[in-house]
Amino acid sequence: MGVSELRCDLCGAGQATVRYTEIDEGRVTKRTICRSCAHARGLLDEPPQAVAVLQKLLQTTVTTPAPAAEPVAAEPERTCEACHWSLAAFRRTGRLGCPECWTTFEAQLLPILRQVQPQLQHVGKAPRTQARQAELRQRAADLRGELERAVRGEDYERAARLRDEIRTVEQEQSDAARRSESTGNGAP
Amino acid sequence: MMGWPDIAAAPCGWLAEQAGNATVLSSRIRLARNLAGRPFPHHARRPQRAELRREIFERTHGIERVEGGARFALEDLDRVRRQFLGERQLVSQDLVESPEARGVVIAPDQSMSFMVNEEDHLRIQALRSGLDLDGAYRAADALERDLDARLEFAYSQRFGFLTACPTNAGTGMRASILVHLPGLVLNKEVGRVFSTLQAQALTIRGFYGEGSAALGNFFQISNATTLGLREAEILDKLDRSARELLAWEEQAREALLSRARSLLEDRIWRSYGVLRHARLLSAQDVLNHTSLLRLGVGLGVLQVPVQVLNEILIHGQPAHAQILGSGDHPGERDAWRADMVRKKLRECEA
Repeated sequence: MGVSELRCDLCGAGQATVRYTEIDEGRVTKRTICRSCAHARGLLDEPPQAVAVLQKLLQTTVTTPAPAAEPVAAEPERTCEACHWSLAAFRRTGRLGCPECWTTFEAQLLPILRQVQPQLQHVGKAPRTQARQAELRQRAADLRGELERAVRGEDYERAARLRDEIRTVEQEQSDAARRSESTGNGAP
Repeated sequence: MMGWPDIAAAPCGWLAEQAGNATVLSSRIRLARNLAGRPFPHHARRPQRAELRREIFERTHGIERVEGGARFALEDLDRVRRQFLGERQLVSQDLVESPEARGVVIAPDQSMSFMVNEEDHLRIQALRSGLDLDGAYRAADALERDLDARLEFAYSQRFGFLTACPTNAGTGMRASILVHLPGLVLNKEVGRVFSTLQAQALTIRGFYGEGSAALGNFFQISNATTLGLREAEILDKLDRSARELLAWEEQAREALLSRARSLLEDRIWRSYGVLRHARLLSAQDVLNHTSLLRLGVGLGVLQVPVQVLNEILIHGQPAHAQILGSGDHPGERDAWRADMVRKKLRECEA
């Protein structure tokens, strides 16, 4: 392997072994830096730019002065009840402490998400438990429609059968909801 | 289950595929998932993380898709072995650097794996040769369903799969391609093209290994956003951008050819000469010279199967040379590497 004596462009101390190109609004900056600087900037992990961008955004949020109406020191330090991760820790690291933090810090997350994500409503894949619940909701709605038609057509035998079926589906729905609650995984 | 050294001796699945395209090396899908009601790995103490790894290993035992593959606690592997897995893109660089309480499960053909206690509890990934995002997604999605059947994922209807970092929320999906762009680099058009891609919500990064020089003209293009679009839409967008990018690369190559054909051909054949005859090759030599060979293949200047170029590229990396060549000294590794490359190219001539 070729021996290189290049020094890191950032810290000036480490041996420069990582070269990267930064593109900021079309302006290209090329740097050669050491592994520890690259690691610190998240360049060796993915998604490198996303983390850097996010930290920048978080710092912006921190330094943005509060509206003048109230005294600035008013807000007490918010902490997640489930994992004790604090808002300050989130702002410092760009990371949440646990899934519950998404609910705890939702108000603070929204402006950040707005800047890094195109939409604030998930539309993709859902886990099996959620998919089952959606399926049950649809099934119950379909059955209620059928029931209404059966009653209107005075087909009471069929209506009774449908009522039983609806009860079974509803029971399964509440079971599924209880199961997902007990794992701390309910819909917000 | 496969252990060490079997995993090193086994072929790297996505490399063995017949790749039709010399420009796109690989397509990769990565899905981030977390278990409900548990702190994210960075906020959990080491015993907690080790316990979570034990639990995930236990509960995912017997999944057919990865059965007969390998399962490692990363701290049980020395650095070179971890690096070896990193060079095959089976674990992230973060797991190579800090192995404690982290794990990986690898499919027997090494085209799929999932990491435990990376930034998220689970990072599921699938790799395919060439431009095949759909194929990679189908594989990752199938493995994700297997895991979903055995674990309770953290999910909200609004934010989708809940991740440690808000940049991964929603689908939790990062789709990426590793693409070779010597034409745009030589034509100095990379900056302009990348600005265009960034405007399309894509992230671009260079692919650099050891050494100070830019290596191989490889770039990774991936989706920058994860929330608010369906998986299929994200894949479709990236695929369309990739095809656009390939067309630009093609144009750049044509421009180079018409401007300096003999110069370009000379550089390609010089690189071939170095790889075919040198007795000592560094990992950087291999990356840089195979880059020109790859360009030569794309231009029809010379003929080497893309699969051979891919093998040389992966096997030429430092940990591969150290483990496959069993040479502890850098000089021995360079000799082994040159030998390996010569042999592979000679076989193509026969």
